[in-house]
Amino acid sequence: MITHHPSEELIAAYAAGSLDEANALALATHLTLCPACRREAAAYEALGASLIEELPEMAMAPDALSATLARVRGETPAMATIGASQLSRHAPASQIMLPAPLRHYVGGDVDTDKWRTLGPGIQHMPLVAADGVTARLLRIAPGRSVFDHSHGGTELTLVLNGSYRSQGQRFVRGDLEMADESIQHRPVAGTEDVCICLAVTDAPLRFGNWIGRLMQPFIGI
Amino acid sequence: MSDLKPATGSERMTQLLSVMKAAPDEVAFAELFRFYAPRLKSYMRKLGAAEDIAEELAQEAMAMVWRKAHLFDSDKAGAGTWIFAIARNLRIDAFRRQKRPEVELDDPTLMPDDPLSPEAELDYGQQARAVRAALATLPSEQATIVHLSFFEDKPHAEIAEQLGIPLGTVKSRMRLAFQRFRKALGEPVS
Repeated sequence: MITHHPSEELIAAYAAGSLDEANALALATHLTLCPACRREAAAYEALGASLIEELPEMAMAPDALSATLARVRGETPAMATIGASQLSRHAPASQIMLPAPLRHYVGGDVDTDKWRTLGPGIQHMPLVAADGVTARLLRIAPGRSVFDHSHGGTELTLVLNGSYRSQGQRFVRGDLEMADESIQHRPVAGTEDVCICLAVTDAPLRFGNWIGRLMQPFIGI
Repeated sequence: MSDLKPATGSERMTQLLSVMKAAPDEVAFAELFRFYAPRLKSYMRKLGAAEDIAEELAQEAMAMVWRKAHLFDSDKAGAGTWIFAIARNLRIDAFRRQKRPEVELDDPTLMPDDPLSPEAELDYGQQARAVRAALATLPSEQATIVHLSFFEDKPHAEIAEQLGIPLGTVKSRMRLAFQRFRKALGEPVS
């Protein structure tokens, strides 16, 4: 049961198309898992449609319609994207299923060899770095804690498997935690399973302990 | 802005797109094109595209409407919303050379809509009308922020700088505008 959602400001920015790619990836992934936020995003897209419908018309080239028709005539209809049936053949039910937006960045499911070790029991997989914002998957062994860190900017963390505790609250699959510079963040993975989450950061993390500070230049987070 | 024409207009557009979903139809497409292409060109211009690029992007967006019409689902969105999403993704791709992460409706991990939730009471046509009505009654300083957030590819901090107002004011006006939209949609105001 999802109880932690993105702010409406983030949902609106996703719908407007003004979010950077890394944050947009976190939003698309959360929306896949959360029908309530999906509905809210649809409302903001309807708002975008209203705004466009009210814009003044700008004259198109005289032959614009025939040029566009010429462009599409004779094309074969676009094939639907990979359907559910194709996916299920490649992904046994026992695997941790990543929502489609993430799967495109990972290039498959989570059992790949792209994980890199960050520290004892913690691995990461960088996915996007654009406009100064980075998205990466984190894999944390059951019961492990991530380095004590705070944030120069903001961090979104979206749980995909297992759970973690932070600030006295529990986060499970689909939950999205928003943290900013005011929060000293020391997430601890649940003991029931490995915790996999998507972390989006818009400034380098600041580690609270010397080992984290020491490692920071080497691991690049 | 307040007369009924846009409402009847956008419902007509949804019907036309449903015709194209069934089979490619140049007559339906021509009418959609006449309505949306000049507005999409306006949208691209507002976001900073030069005249020739805006023309090209408006044509390409409409070509994508043709190519993807078989995927249109009038239960999920009206034509305007669907076409807005196509144009938005196209300009993210063209201006920023970035991919647009999108929800995929045939994704096996997609959590289906809960048909019993109270939010699901408005259908998408009603939702669009409610949003339009709320937009029309928005105080101008809130409407400005809403316009900028859709038509300027900028974070809120830059919008604040441009308007010469504090970031907190941008955020609070945004929040007030959102409250109106939520209220119009019959959702709990947080």
